[in-house]
Amino acid sequence: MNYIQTQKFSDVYVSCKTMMPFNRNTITALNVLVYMMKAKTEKMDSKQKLASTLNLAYGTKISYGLTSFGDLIQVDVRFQFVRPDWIEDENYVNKIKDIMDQALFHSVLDEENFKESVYLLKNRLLAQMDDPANLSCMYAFEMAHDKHSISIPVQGSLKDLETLTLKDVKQIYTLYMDMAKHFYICGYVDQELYDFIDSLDSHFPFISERTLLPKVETSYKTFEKDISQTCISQVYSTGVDISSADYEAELLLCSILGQSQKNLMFDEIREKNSLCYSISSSIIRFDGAILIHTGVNRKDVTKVLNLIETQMDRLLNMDYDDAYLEIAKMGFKDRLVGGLDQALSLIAQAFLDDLLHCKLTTEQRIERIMKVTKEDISRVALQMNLASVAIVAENENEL
Amino acid sequence: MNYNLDLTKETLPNGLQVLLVHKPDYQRSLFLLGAKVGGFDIDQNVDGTLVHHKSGLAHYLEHQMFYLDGEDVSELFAGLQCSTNAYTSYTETAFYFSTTADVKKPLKLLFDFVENLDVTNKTIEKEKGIILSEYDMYQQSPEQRLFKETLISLYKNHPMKVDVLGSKKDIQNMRMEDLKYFYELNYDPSKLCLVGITGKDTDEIMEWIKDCQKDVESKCDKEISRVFKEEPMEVNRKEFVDTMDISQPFVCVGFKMKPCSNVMESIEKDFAVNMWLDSLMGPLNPKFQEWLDQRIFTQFVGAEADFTTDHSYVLFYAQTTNPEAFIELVKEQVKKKTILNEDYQSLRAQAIANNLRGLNHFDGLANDLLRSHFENFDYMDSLNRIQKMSLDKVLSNLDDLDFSNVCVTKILPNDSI
Repeated sequence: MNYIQTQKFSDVYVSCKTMMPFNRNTITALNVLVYMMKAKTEKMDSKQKLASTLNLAYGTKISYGLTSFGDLIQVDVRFQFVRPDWIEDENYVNKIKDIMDQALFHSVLDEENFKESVYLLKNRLLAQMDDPANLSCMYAFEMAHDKHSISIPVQGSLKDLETLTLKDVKQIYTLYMDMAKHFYICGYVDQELYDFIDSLDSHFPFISERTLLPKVETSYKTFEKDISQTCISQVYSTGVDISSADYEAELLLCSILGQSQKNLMFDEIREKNSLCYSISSSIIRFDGAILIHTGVNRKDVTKVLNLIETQMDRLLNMDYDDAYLEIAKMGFKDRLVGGLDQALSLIAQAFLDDLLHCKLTTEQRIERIMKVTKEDISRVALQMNLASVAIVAENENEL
Repeated sequence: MNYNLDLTKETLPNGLQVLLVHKPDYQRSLFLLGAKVGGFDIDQNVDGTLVHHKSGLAHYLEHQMFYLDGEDVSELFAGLQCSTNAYTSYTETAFYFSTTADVKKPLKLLFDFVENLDVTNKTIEKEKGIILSEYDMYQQSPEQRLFKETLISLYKNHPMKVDVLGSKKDIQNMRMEDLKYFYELNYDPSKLCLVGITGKDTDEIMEWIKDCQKDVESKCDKEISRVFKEEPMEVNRKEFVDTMDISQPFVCVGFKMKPCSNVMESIEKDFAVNMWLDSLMGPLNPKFQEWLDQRIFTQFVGAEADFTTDHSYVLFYAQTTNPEAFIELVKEQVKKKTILNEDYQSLRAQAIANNLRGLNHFDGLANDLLRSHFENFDYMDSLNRIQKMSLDKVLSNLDDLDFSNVCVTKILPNDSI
């Protein structure tokens, strides 16, 4: 267990993380399971009872998340509650313990809950398919490499949902319960609560499993929808592993390209050419990939794609002002220090350190960022390969 | 329990209002400089004369403000290890930066670019494409379109019916003189408010701000106020149906309510009605499970109220395969203007915790303090009053709700008509 003790926050955050295999054939079942876990427990056996119990425990919150980390998927059950030493109710700690025990180990996996969860997930997936921005990202990941985990939709698929049974969900639940549980606490708890949470922790070390997105021939595809703006998503493979010496250079490349306060795509595509409102790049760190996304007018698609390529060439040829690199570095420094003010950032960093078996101080992390040169970034840019371009465009008759 | 905040307030000689919150142990500082001007400011009373502006002017100006002596200020902030941004709401425009480094240089930069306008015809033309792209981005969200069309249905004259971004026509026709005049009227130091939340020494920062602003004079002594044309109680249109490339319909039932007579009344009523709506359209209501079992809605479902001194409304919305069933459900529910004591206790405990959490959330707290300043009420007092609101008081706020002025908006899949 990892206890980040601080009196800075009004709340205590507890995160229970479980790493599971990230497979195409089980991801939909896992999503349905999360819905079922959210719906009710043995003692809090209705939505009404669950909501009321959480509210009366001073607005305690439970949230559930699924996040991919390369070839593994993390089920994260998070609790947020007002720090016990601020609450006069003598029974408060027992209430929190009971809520945690129920939410983590006493889910009700019955037919009724299953049907409702399938219904809710189906509607969420349909809504995501309706959103052209989300759709273009999803297609770009799918097209990047059909055998790599990057192509598996974390949110599950409509096709698999059609044939899913309660038995499938129960099987994945059994697997989930068997997997090691890792707990993180950020905030201030008394010994009783600490001991309780510690007793739930597996105390096993983490194992990370990941495969880098390989170099492939670029896949291009345009899809049409009745929409007001064309969405473009591109996936690049970088060939850089999160533990490699080039990782900080990859972070800075992505930042200079489309993340930092001063970045190439924003300056050239939005500011100089007024072609879009928003354009950004984000790193898929456990897959060795970068996603680029923007929304433009259909008539400008070719121009925008060419301009993105030009910015990649500039990174390769070190053809950009030093200020881009300096500002990106300062942005990282600020984020690393600012993360110390956020409980969830503190937990996320502690988890990454555990997963990668790497312990660095904030100062050491900043130092590694500060050491990166334009040459380092150019070396990463040289390895980069455009894996996919997905365009969800306005219908031709809309023009 | 009373909420507490280490808050210092001062009014500088040039009229600038300064509110500083000290948050010991925090690395981060957030400073936000706001003007009481937003999407609502289409008609203004300037020293007794009615002035009509183009719609979306406050938002367009927000985009144009990011220049100082020909340089992009975002870049200058970034060079000082700060992230910066801005927003325009219906009632305010605010510019802010956040940093874990020194705050004095970026604060000076924040003052300099907000207190000086540097626009050219070239920057104005360039911004048109960007804002029109922003407009298109919001336009393809069914949820955004649902709420936007509902507000158009509710209001005939009130600027609530106009997008904060303005109309496409006004965006395309925006001119230098529009922006300059609007700026001169609304961005004088005497009309601005600075909110700072920081782990650093606020006494020292306050002294530094006074020194930094000592030579910045107020140049505008005009009395300026927002003008709202008379709004009838009847809705503008009873039903509106549109189609989009979506798979499931969205529906919103909107009720036009009488505006409140003063700010404190609006704060209490807003809290009470939203509490009632949470008890009605959330899991605390046992009927909620029945409705879900009947598949009347998906997870996109809810209700919200907005009570202010110039407009008030209650909205019920859902993604649903059966819009008519949802509309009927809403019409039945609004007849039940009551809250069970157990639901009141549960929602009150949740509200106390949420307000406590809000005091640690820099961005949200800065926005709330800015709004409370412009609306002339004490933020901490408002939190404490809400916390002490009894069930009887909540119920008395529901008594006079009149649900007779109703409109319905449906966003349907393309092939459904």
